[in-house]
Amino acid sequence: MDVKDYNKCVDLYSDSIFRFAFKSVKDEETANDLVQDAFIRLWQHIEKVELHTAKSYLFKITNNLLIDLYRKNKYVSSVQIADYQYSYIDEYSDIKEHLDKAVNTLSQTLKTILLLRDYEEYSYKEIGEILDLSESQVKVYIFRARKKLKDYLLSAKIEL
Amino acid sequence: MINRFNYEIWFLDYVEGKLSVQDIRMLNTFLEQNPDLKEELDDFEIISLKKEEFVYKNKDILRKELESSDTELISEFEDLSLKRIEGIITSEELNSMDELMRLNPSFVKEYKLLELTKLTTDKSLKYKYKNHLKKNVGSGANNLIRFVTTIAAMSILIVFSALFFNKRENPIMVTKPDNSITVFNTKYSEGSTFQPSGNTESNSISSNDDNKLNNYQKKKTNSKFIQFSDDGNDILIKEENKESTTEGLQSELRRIEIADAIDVKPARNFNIETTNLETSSGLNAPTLSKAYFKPDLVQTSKQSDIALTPKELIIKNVKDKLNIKDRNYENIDPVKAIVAVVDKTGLGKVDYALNSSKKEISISIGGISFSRKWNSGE
Repeated sequence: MDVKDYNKCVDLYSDSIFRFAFKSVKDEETANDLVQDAFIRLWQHIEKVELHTAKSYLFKITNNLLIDLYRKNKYVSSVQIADYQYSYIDEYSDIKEHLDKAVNTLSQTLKTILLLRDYEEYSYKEIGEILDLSESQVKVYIFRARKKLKDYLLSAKIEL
Repeated sequence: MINRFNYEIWFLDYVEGKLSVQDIRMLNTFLEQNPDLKEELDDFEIISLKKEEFVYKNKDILRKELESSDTELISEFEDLSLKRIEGIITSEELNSMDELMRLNPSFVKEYKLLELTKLTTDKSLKYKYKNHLKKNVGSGANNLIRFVTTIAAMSILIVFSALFFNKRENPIMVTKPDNSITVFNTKYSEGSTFQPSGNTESNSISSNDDNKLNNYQKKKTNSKFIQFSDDGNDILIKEENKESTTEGLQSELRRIEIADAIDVKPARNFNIETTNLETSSGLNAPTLSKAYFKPDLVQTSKQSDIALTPKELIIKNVKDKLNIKDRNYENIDPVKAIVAVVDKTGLGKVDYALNSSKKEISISIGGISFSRKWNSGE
């Protein structure tokens, strides 16, 4: 990969990485730092990474950084949620809020897999490659994550 | 084969349109042979009942709650739902699922809740600092340049620090008759220990003969110190390699002979102790050096001698070079120094006057004149 490709990666993937980081840590400043660190690592290994694998590389790095962060700060899933704008229309805001809270109750692994699946629409295989898991493991984790979210919503007595 | 015993079946099939062309020919042949049955066929009609809307109202009574033994069913439905959400459900499984939901309305809610767990991307979240991440094309070369200049700057800084911030408090300076200055690159303060760095002895020192020196206390090995002779004319650099008693020192001495002791402050004895890792002499040095501070050992026989500290020595040399005649070696008047420099360089004429209340200076260089007066207190 050359400098142009690197800059292309910045344009293509920085938003996704930021969303992923932000949804994981719920803090804009920390998420910004994570994005920066991830791209610094990419830059350091620019000669080894191809353009077509850069996205998964970035997610892998970001996930590792998140794990380090969690270990360092002993983040708990139920951290205080940042107050940020919802993009949904108001009548759905309750559900989204509950869903957001529900996502925060998931473990880091389940949360990561769900975000990669739903936000980035990665396949099971791709998620497995990013997180060093088998496809069947990824499927199991996703199913578990959705069940947990459903149970949370059930307990929240969401009006459907 | 059509006959009078099975013709009705053929009639029914004919009316429902199930006969092939060949069968219809056979039927027509049969009807020609049996004209009475042809009339019967003409009167034959399909009478069908219309479907009526009819709803059984007591379905709820019939329904059963899923029991714990039906957890398998619940689990099965859950798996089907998850597959459906993930988009990996087969058509057969989809039908099963729909059937389950039809039979169990509670499953509908279950599925809707699971549907909600499909997250959607919040496109409003964007990274604001893309431009900070981007690199300029050719930044590889820039990085190299940056690296090299950083190393160069650091090297310069290190050298600068070593040269200018290397503490040399009160170096020992001796001016010889030929105006060469011998400097002991040592750090010391009065009454404290030297920590010599590098070569603590000047090459210009020459040794002549031994002298006994009184008032020594017990010393450690490898001590060097400067002491002035009784008449103040000689500086003695004593290098001692063994312990000695207070009197009767037998050790090698070196002596600098200088004709004029004027530039050397006589009232100091300095104990230079070599920092030697093999000895512990440095540890007790403060005590020793204080013991060696013997101002009364040295006298000067010349009234005109001015005892100069190294700082005073430097100022004196500057003034000598600039032909500034005053013998105040404590400080140097910057105005006088400027005047002297201009005068010495021959750039122009400088007049400087000092009286009790004001200073006045006028400079003329290359036809351009400048003059200023100010009070002495400024």
